[in-house]
Amino acid sequence: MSFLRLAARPATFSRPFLNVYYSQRQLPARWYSAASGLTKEAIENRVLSVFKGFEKVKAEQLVPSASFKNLGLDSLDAVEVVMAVEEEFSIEIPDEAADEMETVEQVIKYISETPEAH
Amino acid sequence: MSGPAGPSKQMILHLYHSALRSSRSFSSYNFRNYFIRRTQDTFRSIQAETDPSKVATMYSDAMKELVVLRRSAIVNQLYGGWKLAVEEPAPKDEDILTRSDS
Repeated sequence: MSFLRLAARPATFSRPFLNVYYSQRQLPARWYSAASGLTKEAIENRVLSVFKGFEKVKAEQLVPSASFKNLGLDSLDAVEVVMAVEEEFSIEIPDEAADEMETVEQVIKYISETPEAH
Repeated sequence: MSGPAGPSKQMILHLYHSALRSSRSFSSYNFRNYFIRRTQDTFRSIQAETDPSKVATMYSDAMKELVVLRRSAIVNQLYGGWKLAVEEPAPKDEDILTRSDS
């Protein structure tokens, strides 16, 4: 019993000390789990450059609000575009999410809501 | 386009997605590009087909091919060989970021 109490003592001492330590000093830390530093503009530029890589897409019609249909892409092309976006951002877009994508803006929105995208 | 038993548009698109994904995972340049092209051609021909029963058989054929494609892609990842000169080269030593303490 007594040795248990001894073992417990340092822990009770160190806790308030640690609290002070953490609150007063800013520890250098990297938040690996934090959201990636992708800004909205960066995402938009990269998504648009993916679209530019497709021959069928006319550059002058390429704006974020444009739908796949207006850009001259049919449903099979849309799948290819989604795959290219997946490759660009190193993610996998599930079929359910890919089905709902109809405009460039929706793709940008999905990427900005996906923390794994980088 | 589809009868009661025929595949829906969504099912075909999902299959296209899976087939393209498997084709992309080949590590040999020649195989990879061949299968991407082949998959695109197959699904374009499904798109052009108007007879629902033919679409159904093409769909089930593509489904069977996907299984083979996946298996071959895995084998090819194991025995893929070197990168070809036409491919994007591997990053040079000075381009790879290393930790300062290593």
